[in-house]
Amino acid sequence: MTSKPSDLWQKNPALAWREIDEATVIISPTDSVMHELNDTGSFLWKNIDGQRSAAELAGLLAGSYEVAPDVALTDTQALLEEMSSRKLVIPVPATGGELR
Amino acid sequence: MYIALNDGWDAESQPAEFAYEFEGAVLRAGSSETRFDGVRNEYALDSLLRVLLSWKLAGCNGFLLHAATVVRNGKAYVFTGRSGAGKSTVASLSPEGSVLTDEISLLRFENGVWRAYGTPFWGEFRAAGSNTSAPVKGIFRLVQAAENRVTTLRPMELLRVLLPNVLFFSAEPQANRRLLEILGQAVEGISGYELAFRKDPAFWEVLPE
Repeated sequence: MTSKPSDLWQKNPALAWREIDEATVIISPTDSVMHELNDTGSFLWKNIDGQRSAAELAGLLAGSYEVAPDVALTDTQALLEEMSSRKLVIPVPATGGELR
Repeated sequence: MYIALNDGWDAESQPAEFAYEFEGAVLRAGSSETRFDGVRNEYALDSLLRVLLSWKLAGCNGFLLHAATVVRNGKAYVFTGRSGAGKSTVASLSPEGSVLTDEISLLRFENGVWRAYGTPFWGEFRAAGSNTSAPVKGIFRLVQAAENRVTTLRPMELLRVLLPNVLFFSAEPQANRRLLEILGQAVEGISGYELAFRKDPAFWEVLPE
C-alpha cells in the first residue's frame, strides 16, 4: 500500500491500548496479539486522531524531535503503512473535507 | 444473585450482559443472575466457571492468571507460566508455604493493595488448599534451569509475561480496554521477576523476602 502525505488516519476502534514504561502497548482483541510502539511510534499514536494527515503528523514529529521535515515525513508514512498492515490504524474515508 | 443450571433460557425476557459458548454448553450472565445451559459434564461447567469469573473480575479490578500461588510469611508468591512451566512443581517444593492453587490464581486490587486468592481450579498438585488471600509479594515467570536465579522484570516485561497467561474470553474492545487498564495497574504496582529454578526447594533461598 502506498499512502499520500495528505491521507488522514485514525486508530482502529477495535483495539485496546495503554502507555507503560513510556511505550505504548496495543492489544488486538480479535487475535489476542500484543503490539509495542517505541518512543517515536508512541508519539505518533497519541496524535493520530482521525483529523490529522500524515504530513501534519510528520510536522508534529519534526517539531518535537531533532529530525529534518523530509525525513520525518518519510518515517511517518513508513510507520503509518506498517501500522496499517497490522490493522492498528485505518485510513479515514474521504468525505469532501468534512472532517477538517 | 440467581444461579441456574440447565434450567432453560428465555432470551426475549432475559437478555444477557455476557454470553459464552463452550462445546455446546452456554453461559449467560447478568448483574443479578447467571445461567448455565447445555452443561453435560463437570469439564464443561469448570470451563464456564472460569469464563464467568474472568468476566466478573474485570468489573472489580481483578483477573485470573495461569499461576501457582504460595503464601509464605504472610505474602503471596505468584508463579506464572503455561502448562509444563513448573507451577505444580513449585507448589510441591514449598513445604513451608500454604499453596492457594497450583493452576489458576486470582489477583485483585483492593484497598490499595494487590492480593492473591486461591481458586477452585487445580492442576496436578491436587492438595487441599486454603480459601484465603494474601498481599502479593511478586509475580515470578518460571523458567526451569540448572541453577536458581532471580532477575527483576520491568513493567513492560512483566506485561509480556502476563498477557499470554491471563484468562480472558471476550473479544469486545471495551472489555479488552478494561483488562489492559487492570493489567497496566498490576505491572506498575506489583514487582515482577523471572525465576530460573531447579527442581528442589532451594529456589526459595533466592526469592525476595
